Amino acid sequence: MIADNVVVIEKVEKKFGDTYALKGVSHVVKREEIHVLLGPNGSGKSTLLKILAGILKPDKGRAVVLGKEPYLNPEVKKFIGYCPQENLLYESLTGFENLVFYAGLYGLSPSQAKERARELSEILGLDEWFFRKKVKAYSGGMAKRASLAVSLVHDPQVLIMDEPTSGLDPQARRLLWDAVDKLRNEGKTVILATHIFEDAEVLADKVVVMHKGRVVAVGGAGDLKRKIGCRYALELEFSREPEKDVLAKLKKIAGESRLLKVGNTIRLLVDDASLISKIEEASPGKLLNLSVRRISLGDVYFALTGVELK
Amino acid sequence: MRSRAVKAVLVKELKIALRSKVFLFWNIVFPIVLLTFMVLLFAPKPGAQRSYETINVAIVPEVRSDELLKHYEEYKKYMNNFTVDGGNLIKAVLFNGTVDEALLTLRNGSYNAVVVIPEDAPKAFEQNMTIKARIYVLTGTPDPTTEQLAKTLLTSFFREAGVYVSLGMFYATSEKILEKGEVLVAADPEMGEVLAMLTKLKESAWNNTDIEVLEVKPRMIEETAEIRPYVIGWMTISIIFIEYMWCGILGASRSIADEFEKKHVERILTTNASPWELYLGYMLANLISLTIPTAACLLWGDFTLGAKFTVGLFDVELLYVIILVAAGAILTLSIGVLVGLLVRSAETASIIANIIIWPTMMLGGFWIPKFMLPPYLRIFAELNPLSVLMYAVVNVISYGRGIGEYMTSIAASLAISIALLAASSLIYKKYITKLL
Repeated sequence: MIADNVVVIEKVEKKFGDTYALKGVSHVVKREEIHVLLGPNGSGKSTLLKILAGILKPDKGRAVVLGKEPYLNPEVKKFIGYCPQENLLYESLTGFENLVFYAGLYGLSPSQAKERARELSEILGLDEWFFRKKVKAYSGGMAKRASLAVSLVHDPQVLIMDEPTSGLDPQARRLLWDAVDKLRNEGKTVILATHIFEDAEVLADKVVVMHKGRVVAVGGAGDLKRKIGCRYALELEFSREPEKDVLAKLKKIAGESRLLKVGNTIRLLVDDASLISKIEEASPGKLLNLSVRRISLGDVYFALTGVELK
Repeated sequence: MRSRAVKAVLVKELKIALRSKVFLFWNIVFPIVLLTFMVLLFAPKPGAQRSYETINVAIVPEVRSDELLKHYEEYKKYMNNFTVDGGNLIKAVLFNGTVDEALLTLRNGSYNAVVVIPEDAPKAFEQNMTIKARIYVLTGTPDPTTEQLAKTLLTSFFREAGVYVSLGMFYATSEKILEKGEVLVAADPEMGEVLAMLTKLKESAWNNTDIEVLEVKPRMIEETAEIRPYVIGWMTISIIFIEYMWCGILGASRSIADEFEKKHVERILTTNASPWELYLGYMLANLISLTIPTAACLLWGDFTLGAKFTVGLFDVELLYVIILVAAGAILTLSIGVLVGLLVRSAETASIIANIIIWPTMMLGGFWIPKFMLPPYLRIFAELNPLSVLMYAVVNVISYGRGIGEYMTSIAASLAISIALLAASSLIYKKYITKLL
């Protein structure tokens, strides 16, 4: 059973200057699971991923991947693939040349790299552009897939991805989701950090909610939604900024941690859709629009941390 | 150490370099243009006599009078006859203006000296046969040699003019005495001996020097050979070492800083490549890159500009040259790596690299030959390991000399190169490990 725990993080702490990036984070990832670290910038996701990739050392605690701490045992890095937030590819080389370079660093020959590039072409939808065009001519989606290919060149068991869909258009994002799904089917263990809750909804076996360097909650998307006890999100658009008495009434109905005010709009997380009539009563004549939808992981994050994911 | 990882870095670095127009410009176009420019401007012209510095002199009247003008014309005529190897040493003109105006023109740099003949000069000459002149020499220029030459030449000219006048008088007087020779001997027989001496003195007065000036070429240059191909040879090696500074110190520091700044190193560290593999691949790629300007300069200097190289492809001395050149390349690359590691951005790396490169170039005998530097600056070139290596290469490849007599300084320079290589590799490893 222990062998199933591919990643074990135990009370990891990391400080940059006086600021804590991670404060006693513990977590376990099992083989062939996809775990999504969900949180805004500054929540400690990237720092945790860098520790798992072996490019940062924790100040306290330990992070073990496949039985070894990557920052102390570089040999374990050949089983880990890391796809950073910025693509970090050499722009004057083609995607394939970048891939051959990284293959060489992992000790693979150019012919092995070529063979692997062919396999990855099918998974990631890499076409002629990957082999012929220089990276500087790639779109955001192409660059992201090329970067993902580079991180998979050595066929790692564990794939670490930092904000893989950040800056991508909806079509490119869907292509990337498909690619990650294929990797799951190939038996890879994936740890992915994102601030986009849709990524977590679509991909995660488990969502790790992170806030200010701590793990706030862990669970499947459905479990987390159930955990906060709200099924619906109500968006209330007012003609002008709602007055204090209106806010007070709404707070009373929904509870403070489940109310988010952005300008003229208020979001309420509720479990009972019949509260709508009470809410309308609380804001007579000032409500321009009211919409109801099922709760998202973004709402869950807000409910757990009081912070909205942007 | 895995050769595949080293090769991967090497191939990646070379591909990036060879696809960069900036790299191709600085490594091929720039050295060729610079070498051509230096040869066209500063190398002795083929087959022509070497030109000497001409001192420009304005002769100006203190007071305008016919008598003084006669003097000026005389001086101008004789000054313009002052020649060496058929070339004029002094170019004298009569200045049409006041003394103050002439001095202003001198200060503006139009002349090297202004000669003022005082108002009482004709009188002094008539009364005492004294040559009177005031010589104003422009000083404080960047060319102290010309200043010194102007001072010496004009002082010598007037002293010689004085001697010439004295000799003329002596000659004329002797003639008169000798005409009365018989009368004098009859009066006093001992005067015969005095007159014989006077005759001898009179005959030798105009021609009592027997000086031969012989030209001697630097060691190992054939006496009959033209000096131009050797100078071009020196320039070629000098440009190669200047290239090592640009591409080695500046290029390497920028590219290392850039790798860290753009976080490529961070991604590379997610692989299991060791710092040694990365460093070795990087250094080898850069050493290979430096062969491009080296080959470009050697081929251009030899086949197009006519540089003279005394070492053939199969001579054992070629091995010395390769070792010395490689040491120069390693030295500059190691400095470049150190600078790149110590700064946070490619821009700062450029600034620091330039601070190192410019004084080294200007004071190290790369732009200006070492022997032309003032003695207090020459010390820098004597101690600077890159200058030592460059002049050792010039001695072997251009002048065909051995390196035996410079062994101590060469050994010290090689040791410095190796020490810097070791330091840069250790700091590179430490820096990369510190990133964790």
